[in-house]
Amino acid sequence: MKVIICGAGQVGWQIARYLSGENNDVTVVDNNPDLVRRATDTLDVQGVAGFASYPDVLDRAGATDADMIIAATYSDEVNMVTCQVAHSVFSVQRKIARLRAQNYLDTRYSDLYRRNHLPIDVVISPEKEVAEAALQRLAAPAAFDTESFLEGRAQLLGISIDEDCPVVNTPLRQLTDLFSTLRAVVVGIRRDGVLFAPAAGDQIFVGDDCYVFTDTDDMARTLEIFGKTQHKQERIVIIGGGNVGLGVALALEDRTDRVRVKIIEKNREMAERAADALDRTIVLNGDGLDAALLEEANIGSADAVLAVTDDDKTNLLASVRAKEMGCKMAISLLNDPSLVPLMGPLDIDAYINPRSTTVSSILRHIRHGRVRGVYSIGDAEAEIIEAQVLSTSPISGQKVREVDFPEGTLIGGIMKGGKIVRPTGDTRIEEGDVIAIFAMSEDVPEVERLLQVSIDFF
Amino acid sequence: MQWIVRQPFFVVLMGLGALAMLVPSAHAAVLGDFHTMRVFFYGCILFSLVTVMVGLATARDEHDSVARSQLVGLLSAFTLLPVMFALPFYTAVGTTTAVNAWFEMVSSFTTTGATVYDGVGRLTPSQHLWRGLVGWMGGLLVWITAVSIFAPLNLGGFEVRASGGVGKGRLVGFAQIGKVADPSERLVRFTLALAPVYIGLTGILWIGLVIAGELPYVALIHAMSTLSTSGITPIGGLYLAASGFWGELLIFAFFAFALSRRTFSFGQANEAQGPIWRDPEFGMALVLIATVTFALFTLHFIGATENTAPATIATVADAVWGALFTVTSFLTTTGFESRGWQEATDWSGLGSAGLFLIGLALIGGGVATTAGGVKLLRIYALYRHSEREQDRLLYPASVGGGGRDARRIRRQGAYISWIFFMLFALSIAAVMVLLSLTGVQFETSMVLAVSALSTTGPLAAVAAETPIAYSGIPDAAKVVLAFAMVLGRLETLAIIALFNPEIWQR
Repeated sequence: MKVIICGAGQVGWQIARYLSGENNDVTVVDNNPDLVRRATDTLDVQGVAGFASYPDVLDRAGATDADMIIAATYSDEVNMVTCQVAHSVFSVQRKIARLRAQNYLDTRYSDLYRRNHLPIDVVISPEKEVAEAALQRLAAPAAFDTESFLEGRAQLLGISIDEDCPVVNTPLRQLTDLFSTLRAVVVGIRRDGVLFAPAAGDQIFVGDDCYVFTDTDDMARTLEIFGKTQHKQERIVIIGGGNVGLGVALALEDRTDRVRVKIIEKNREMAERAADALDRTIVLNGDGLDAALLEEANIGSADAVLAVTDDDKTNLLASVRAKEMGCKMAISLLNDPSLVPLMGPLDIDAYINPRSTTVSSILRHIRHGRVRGVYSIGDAEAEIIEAQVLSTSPISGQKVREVDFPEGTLIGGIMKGGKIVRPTGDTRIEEGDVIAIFAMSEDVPEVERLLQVSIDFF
Repeated sequence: MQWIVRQPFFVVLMGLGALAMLVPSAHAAVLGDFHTMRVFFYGCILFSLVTVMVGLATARDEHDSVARSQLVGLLSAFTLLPVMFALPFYTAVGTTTAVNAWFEMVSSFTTTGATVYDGVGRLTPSQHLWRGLVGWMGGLLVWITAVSIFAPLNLGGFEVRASGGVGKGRLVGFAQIGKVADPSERLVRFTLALAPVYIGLTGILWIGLVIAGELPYVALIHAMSTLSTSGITPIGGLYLAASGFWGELLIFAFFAFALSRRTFSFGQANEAQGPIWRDPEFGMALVLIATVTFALFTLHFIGATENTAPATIATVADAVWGALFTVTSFLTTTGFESRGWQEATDWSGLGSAGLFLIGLALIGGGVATTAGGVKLLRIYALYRHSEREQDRLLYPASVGGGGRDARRIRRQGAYISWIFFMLFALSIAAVMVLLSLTGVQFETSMVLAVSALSTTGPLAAVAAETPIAYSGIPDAAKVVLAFAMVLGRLETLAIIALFNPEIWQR
């Protein structure tokens, strides 16, 4: 597939890296020639330097035969115009634009993005998605990774196993018998840095990181079984008042239970912007690493600290300092996945990877079939794919045990007519069901094939 | 129209003032008061001639700084025009001194409404009408000049929200603005926009009061003094009015136009949009009115009242209404007293409830309305600032929200408001000292100083323990008070702005 990515910033770069890794023909357009050269040097992409919305620049990037364009420059307006040009001049089929300003995302005006108005098929806003991810982490403080699937009825929880866990050293098969009403499946285990899909005979050991796919109603029970207790989060300190921090604070203010939020932001103007947008939240202006300022934010009695500045190292250090000053929990934003192993030694409870959240939302539009959601786990080691089963798919009408799933694949959950069903070997997959599949990266193409229209159809 | 615009501001005002003398003249003719009719008619002719001559003499007078000429024009309008107004009045009344007549006209024109003619029979109806009319014209002048002269100079309360410096214009360095509207053009534009509103509102209130049972001429004067917040009445007090409760209710509704200019401006100046009750000035006024009324009402239950008369529902309602109306009336610096006010003071058991009124008159109404005082917007800025400072006690590094405008009001706005507030306080002190020099007692001079500077004439009769009569104070004190009224009307900052070197630079 030929893809043009406009803007080689944080988001554009990561998408380019991901897509080029999947053998797509990727062209990166940016008005900074240095950035373009670096992209062509590091990634397996072509580069064009120029202003993304100019028709001649897009022409040079090969827009005439492109299948998809992803406009992810820093300017909303440029992204809009780029999509319009790609549509009107080059008839590019799929157009994805990243729009930051909330004013453009108001559902009242969503008509704007219809085909004959402003032809954008998919609007992504990374900050908003990262903010949602942060909220999910806050909602399940005991888990180090969470993502919701199947219209919010199911959750993927990343749980680290420690000595308190009652189900340690038990084969998974026994767990199924022990808790027969629990709608939860262990879909992935990371042991000594290696992620794998467990078989029925595998056991859970202390020090493992488990990925558990569970019904949302059973979330608390699942966490309890794995030795985690839920606390209510009442006092939250957010370090970094950019789009992410502000988005989280806004969402927290909207919640009915009174959460007391404080934001620490270094840049005066950004702090003022955050203070203007927020009502009850207290915005502090200063360095998030400053102990005196953290003291002023009363970090000692805070339930959670959320470090979401644009600098990974600041986030890590601020989290460590907050924990050291008595904060119960620290969540940190990490752009660089290579820093993830530091989380354990630094005693940081959870992290948010903006790349995986954003890339997930873009991937779901690149995948074939009726894929509804894709969530990338770890450093793109595995994916959870949520898809609707089509009548033409080879798995349709078959029992789970009959389907020829690859080795590193597990079914997390099936939604039949709005109800979550825990998959067993006898569960029959029918047309119209929504299915969530855990797949190791190397097995993704095979899973895609299973979800696609089968050859027999023709 | 164009040739009128080109005349100096003062000449235009003079011409209008001369023409206005036809009104009492016509009124007197209808009533058969031919002496007054003749005097005002001759006055009209005389001053029309004078205006034409002054106009001819100043026709080629080119000003380097139009802003200066208009500020000076405004200052002279409030000091010199009353002399012109006083001359026919002095002649028509016959039994008064020139100083008294001049004081009366200054007090009317600055919408203060302090009167030395407290005997009901001293003046004929047409002469009362002239007082009311002069006050009404003063109010209109304030409405128009506030927007057309003070607003571009960031004065008169506009400085609280302004981004430029006080006494200076804004919008410098925008190349696309090829031509900035001349202040005289602004005057014409805003006169055409505001005068019909002002006249229309007065007309509506007049008709309403007549329907409520008032004599037409009393109703007209009351309507004019409500709109101009002068508080001039021909019958010795609003509580004697025939329109009764319904009349008071009507007038009460029209006080709103002195609380915030948002009630009549319809977005002419670039103010924040939104519903009227979100307007800071209006909200501030509502809170103040509610608090003081509530305080007066509940004091009854707290204090040990000697008044043991059984409280019927009627007296309670009277007391609440009396407090509500009078409090609002003094906050707008009008100074009408409700017929329930006596009940209200009795009810609260507070002998000196008038002190509340002094405080309210000091605070005053909205910016660019006819009200005087410190103005609600400045109080609002100071309130916001203090609120913010309290937050900063808890969180020294915290950042205040509310938007760029709110932040500016809290910082620069509060700063300039504080300066104004101190200037106002100093003016009170200075006026009190001058009054004391002329032999007025301390407490009396305090009440008089506040009433003059806040342009709330009737305060003297209500606020002090024993009513103060303007007729009883020495002539020198009257002169001091007259200048204090002009100072209170124009605001100290505007007069200080006159000394701004930028205005005088050639």
